[in-house]
Amino acid sequence: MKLKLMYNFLQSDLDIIEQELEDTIASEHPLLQQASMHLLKAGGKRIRPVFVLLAGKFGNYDIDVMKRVAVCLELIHMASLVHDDVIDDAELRRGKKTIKAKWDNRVAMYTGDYIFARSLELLTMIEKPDAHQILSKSLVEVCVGEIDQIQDKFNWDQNLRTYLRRIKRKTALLIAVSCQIGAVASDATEDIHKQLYKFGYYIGMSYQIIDDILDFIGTEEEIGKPAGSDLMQGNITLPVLYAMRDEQLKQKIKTISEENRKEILSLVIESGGIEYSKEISDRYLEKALDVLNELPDGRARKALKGIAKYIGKRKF
Amino acid sequence: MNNSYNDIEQIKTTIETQLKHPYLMKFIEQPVIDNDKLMLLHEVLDDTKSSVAMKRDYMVSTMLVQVALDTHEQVLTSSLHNNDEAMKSRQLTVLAGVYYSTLYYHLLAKIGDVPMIRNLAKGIREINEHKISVYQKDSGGIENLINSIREIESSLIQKTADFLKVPHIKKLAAEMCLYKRLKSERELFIKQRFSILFDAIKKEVVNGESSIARNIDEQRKHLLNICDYYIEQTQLQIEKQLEQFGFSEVLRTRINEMLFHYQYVKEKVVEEG
Repeated sequence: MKLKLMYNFLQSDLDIIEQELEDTIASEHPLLQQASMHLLKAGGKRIRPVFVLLAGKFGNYDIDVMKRVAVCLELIHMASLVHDDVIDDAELRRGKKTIKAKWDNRVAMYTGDYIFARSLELLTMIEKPDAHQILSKSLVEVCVGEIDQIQDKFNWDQNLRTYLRRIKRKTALLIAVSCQIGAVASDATEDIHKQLYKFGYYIGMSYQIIDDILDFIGTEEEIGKPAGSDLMQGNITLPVLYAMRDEQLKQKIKTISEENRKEILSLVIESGGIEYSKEISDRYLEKALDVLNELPDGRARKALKGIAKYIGKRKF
Repeated sequence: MNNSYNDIEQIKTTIETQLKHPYLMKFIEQPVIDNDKLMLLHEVLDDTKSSVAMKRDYMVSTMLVQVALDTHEQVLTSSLHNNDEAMKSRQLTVLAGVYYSTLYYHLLAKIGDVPMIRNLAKGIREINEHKISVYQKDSGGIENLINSIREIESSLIQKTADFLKVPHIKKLAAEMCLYKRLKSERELFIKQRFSILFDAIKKEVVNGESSIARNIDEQRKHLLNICDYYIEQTQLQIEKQLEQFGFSEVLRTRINEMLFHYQYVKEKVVEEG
C-alpha cells in the first residue's frame, strides 16, 4: 500500500499546506524566492506536516491553526537541509542541484536563515507558549546533536547508548515534536500530547535505524548515494557497532577506504549487524504501536498505525 | 555612568557564557560581541520600565541573534580549501550560527515571550533580504544600497526599539551602526583592495554613469569619495540626533570617541599624503 493512501482523508488539508508553504517563503527578493522555491519544488515526503495534522485530530482540529504548525515544522526541516548541504558540501538533494551548488554557500546561508526566520514568524501567530518551549528546547538539542556528530566522526569507541542518543537528536526528536506540537496546538489533553510525543520518538528511532541499515543494503538508485557512504564519512551506525564487537573485524573496519569499501560492507553484513539492527528497529516500532493502542480510536490512529507499519517495511 | 558600564559588562559576560561551547571554540573563531550594539540596546531598554530580568533577557537574546547572523557571514563562499581542518571549520561555523539562533529562541520561549520571538524573527528575515540584495549587487541605486547596509546593521536594534516603544533612539542607532560599517568597509578596501560594499557601489556607479571608464587609481579614488560622502552625511545625522535628544552620558562619550577617532585618522591620511 502506498504511504499517501494511509492518510488520503487529509489530502485537501495537505494541499492547503503546500500552498501555505509557497506563500510563507515568498520573498520580495527574486533570488531568495527562487532559491527557496527551488528546494520546495524538489519535493519531499512532507512527513512532518502529516504527523502534525494527524496529531491535531486528537484535539479540536482547526486547519487554520494546524497549517501554521505543519508549515513551520516543514520549513525548519527545509532550512536544516539547506544548511546541511553547506556542511556536507553536497551537490545533489532529491536528485536536483542543492542551493549551494546552483548558487553558492553564501546564498545558501542567507536562504537557510531566511527560511528559519519565516518558520518562527509563522509559529508565533499561535500564542501558545508551550508549543514554543517544546520546539525551542528540541531545536537546541538537535543542533547540539549535529555538533556531537561531527565530533564523533571516526570515533571507533562509541557504544549503543551514544548511537541511540545521536539518532534521537538527528531524526526522532523533530518527528516526536511534530506529533506533540500538533496535539498541543489543537488543545488535546496533556496525556495525549505526551503519548504522541512518545509515538513520534519511537517511530523516528525506528526510521533512522532503517535508514542506517539501507546505507549497507540499498542500491545507489534506491538510496541516492553509494552504499556505505555513512561509514566512509566516519559515521558509526548500528550495523557497524554490532560488527565491531568482534575485535578483529573492528580493526579491519577501521581501515575503510574507497578501495576496500565493498569488502568491508560485506563483512558488516555477514557479521549479522543488519539482522541485529532490524531487531532493534522492530522493537521501537512495537513500542510505537503499543503507545497508539492507548490513544482514542479513529481515522487518525489508524493512519498513524499504517505509517508505522510502512516505515518498518520501507526499502528506501 | 559607572552603573551603565557595569550593566553592559555583566550582560556581555552572560552572553559570552551562553556562546561557550567547548568543541566549537576549538575550531571556530571566538564570536565577537559588538559593544556598540550592546550599548545601543542598553540605551533602548534603559528608557523603559522593564524589570532587570527582562532587560537582561532582551539584550542577551537580541545579541545572540546578532552573533548568529555574524557567524554565518564567516562561512566562505567557495569550498576550494577542502582539507580536513578547513572543512571542519566550515561545518562548525554553519552549526555555530544555527546553535546561537536556537539559543535566542529557547531563551525567549522559556519566559513565554512569543511577541518578542516574532519581532526578532522578523528582523532576521528582513536582514537576510537586504544581505542577499547587497551580495547580488541589485539594490537599484546607491541610496538603496546604503539603506540596505543600514538595515543589515541596525534592524535588530530598531525592531527592539519599536517593540518597546522607544522610537527616538532608532535614527541614532541606524546611523551609528551604518557609520561603523562604512568605516570598516573603507578600511578593508584600502587594505585589501576589496570590500563587498565597494564592489556593490562600483556596480551601481557603472550603471549610473558612463564616465566611470577611468583608470584604476581614479576609480578607487572615486569610490572612496562616494564612501566618504556617506560617512560625512551619516556623521551629520548622528550629530543632529545628539543635539535633539537627551541620550545617556555613556553613549555620548562613546559616539564622540568614535567620531573623533575617524576625524583623526582622516587628517593623518591627508597629512601623510
